Amino acid sequence: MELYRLALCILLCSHQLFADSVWSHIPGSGVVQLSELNTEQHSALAQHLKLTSIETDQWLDELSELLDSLSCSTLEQQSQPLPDYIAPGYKVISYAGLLKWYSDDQGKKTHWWLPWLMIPSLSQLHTQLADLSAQLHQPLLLTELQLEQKGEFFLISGSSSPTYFALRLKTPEQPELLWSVSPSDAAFKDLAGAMAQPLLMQETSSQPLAISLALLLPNTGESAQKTLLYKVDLWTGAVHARLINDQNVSALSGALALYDQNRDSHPETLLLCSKAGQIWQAQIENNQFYDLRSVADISGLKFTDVQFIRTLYAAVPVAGSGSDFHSRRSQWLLLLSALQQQDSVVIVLKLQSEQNTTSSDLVNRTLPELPKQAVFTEQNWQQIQQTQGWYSQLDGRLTQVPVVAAGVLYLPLLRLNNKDHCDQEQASAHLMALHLHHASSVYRHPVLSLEKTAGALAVKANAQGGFALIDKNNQQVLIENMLEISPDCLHCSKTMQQDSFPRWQLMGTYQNEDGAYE
Amino acid sequence: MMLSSKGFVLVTTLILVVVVSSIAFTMLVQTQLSQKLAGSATLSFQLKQQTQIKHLQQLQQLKTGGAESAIFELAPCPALYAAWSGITPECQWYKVSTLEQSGHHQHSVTSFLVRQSLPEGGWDGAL
Repeated sequence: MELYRLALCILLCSHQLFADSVWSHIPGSGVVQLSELNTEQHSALAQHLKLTSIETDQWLDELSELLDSLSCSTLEQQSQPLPDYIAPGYKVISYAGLLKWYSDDQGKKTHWWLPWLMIPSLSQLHTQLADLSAQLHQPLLLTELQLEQKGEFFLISGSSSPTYFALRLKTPEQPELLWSVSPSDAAFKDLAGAMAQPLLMQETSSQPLAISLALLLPNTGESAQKTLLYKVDLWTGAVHARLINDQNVSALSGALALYDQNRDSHPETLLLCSKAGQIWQAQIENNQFYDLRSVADISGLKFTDVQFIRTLYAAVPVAGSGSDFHSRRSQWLLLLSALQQQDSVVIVLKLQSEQNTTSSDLVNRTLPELPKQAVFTEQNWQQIQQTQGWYSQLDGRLTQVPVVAAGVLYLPLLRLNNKDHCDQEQASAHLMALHLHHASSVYRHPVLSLEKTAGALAVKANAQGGFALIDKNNQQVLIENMLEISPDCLHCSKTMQQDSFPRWQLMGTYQNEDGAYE
Repeated sequence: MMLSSKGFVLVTTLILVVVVSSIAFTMLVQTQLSQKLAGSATLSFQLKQQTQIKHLQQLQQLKTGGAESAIFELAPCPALYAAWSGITPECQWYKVSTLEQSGHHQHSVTSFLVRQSLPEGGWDGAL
């Protein structure tokens, strides 16, 4: 009986120990599971950790506990769902490059991917995560639709080691390292920081109708690097081009955006920025970067890091008589969110090639604490029209890329506890909705309290004939009936109706008359 | 002497007849031209009106899905005041031409329209 109990205990304990599978890539040995190392791999790990064989065993025994201690419930709210054809119900999250894919279903195993170069510094990772900018950037998920190959799925991530790597997942239990780049590679020897979200770009190759995929990997870091950005092949990680730093750009943030400035359906302009808020743009054509120049410098707002950059093309009201809502100019807007210590600031600025925008060109449209105090006068409106845009300081940290739907800017926010960033109990989640053109509240209440932190936002048709704003991760409805702004007046908005689509817009009519009467 | 004065009267009468008839003829032609001119304006107006009514009908039919027109890819969606990011509406550009003829006269009206629809998937179905 005693023996039976002992056997049961061993079985349960070992099950607990290996409940999670931990993967890494040992150079020369390939992808390994750290619980199933052979002697050679074990000694390679010991050498990498600079530990003896016995100490390595002890390290491996404590690994599970160490990884569990990394768990951060507020950060996990930013997780992204894996596609159903790979792992239904699984989500992925990055702890400064250390990846975890897991399911809320307790019966399903949790898997970890430890970038090889990060292994020796795992014990310091917890401290690193206290830095909110290390929490910003999540891996890039590339599905079969983007890869144009059925059943394929890639995870591209940067890590604090610094390394960029690409994993291919067939199933959650089968990670395959496609490539990994670090400063030890000759082509990446000036890679100083990889805490960024890589950007996917499509380019038409020399063969007709063939589209090749490339990745843009920013070289983040505190100092000025020779290379600002690498353009690499998606499948191999081989460098195709680099953006050389000829403007003395320093402390590059991991936020990037690619947009189609000339509107020919091929994005060719790259936007990149420093952590402080200096924004540059460069042109990209085939494998050439050129014309790197500054477009805005809003570092006067004292940012600690930039979270996201996005662009959108909109009809922007132009300065004229205050009541004239019909005079508008089509132009690119830059949507940027940055951190001021713990809280985010959202900025909408008009991208103009001839002018270098500074923070004094922006109107402060921060909402007052009490909604009743919110005043928006005709003078404010003219000021926004005449200047380069607006900014609004948010009460909380933005957790996802903001979404603009029908002229309303939706911002998922998380207010964190000052002492423990990972304490979900102390954190509160909110959703804020602002008018795209003047940052006033569109809904009755500008801020909506949420039970859970919102994941990626999506718009979905509802049963009442309107549209609802939903949180894709948690399948929670955030706004039942979405509003759309209307150009008829300053604060005009109406419920967006399904039957109002498709919409027709008359762009122009011309008449021609010829011939003669007899 | 008598004979030469008779010839003079005859020649003068003939010249007078020619002058009067040419004036009358010119006036007749002028009146006819004026009528034609006046008529052409009316006809032209009628033709224009006819073309425009037909064009408006065509546009209406296009919107209800009852008419065909040339669809082409010109550019992405035009800028909207109520702009979108991430999920952008899909745009199709349409060219609708209406041509009406009356004799040797023709009048055409061409309109360019954009049809904005919401992308399928993510939008369809109720929650």
